[in-house]
Amino acid sequence: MLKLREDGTPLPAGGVPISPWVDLACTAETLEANAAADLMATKAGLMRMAGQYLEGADPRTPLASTL
Amino acid sequence: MVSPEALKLNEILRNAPKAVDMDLAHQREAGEHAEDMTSEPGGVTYKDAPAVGGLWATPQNWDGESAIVYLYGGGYVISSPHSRRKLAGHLTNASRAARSSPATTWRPSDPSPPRSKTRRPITGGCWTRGIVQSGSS
Repeated sequence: MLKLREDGTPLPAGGVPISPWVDLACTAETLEANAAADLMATKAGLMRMAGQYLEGADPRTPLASTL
Repeated sequence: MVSPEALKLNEILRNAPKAVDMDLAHQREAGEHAEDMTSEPGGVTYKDAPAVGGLWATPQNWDGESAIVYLYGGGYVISSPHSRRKLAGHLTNASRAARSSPATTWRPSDPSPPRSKTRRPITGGCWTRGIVQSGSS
């Protein structure tokens, strides 16, 4: 939606993110604080997936990390 | 009170291999089974949306106007409209809106700017007051 706004494209009526991944730099302290309770993800695995997606792009670019 | 079903799901997930820790080929294979344990949404009809490589899901009580553009989860690295079809089907049932789950170009392999390429055919100039964008990580 940020990209749509930048391009001047009309925006939808709303956005409903469901557990969005908004920090591809994986900086949140809860990634480690809640590691034992997380059934699906690990910080190391997430950082690897972020790297696959970003392919060298800055993980803090707003189009990738909206946090 | 946690239900026996929730406890069982917790046990299964806790003991299952974590997709994020697999190599890419196995991640993608696992991603196609992300909804194997979930319930089938009732009364939803699916139809291919070839222009965007996705699916239309229509509930029985569709209001005839509203739509949700649902961008499925998988970190834009794994999964497909078909493998995330059930969640979007439940979403469309709950909202009474038809939904499209467009194919998202997998990375690595696509040098386009993050999260923009495959959305344009869907979003370009077609938004109305009844269209909402949703998605998961």
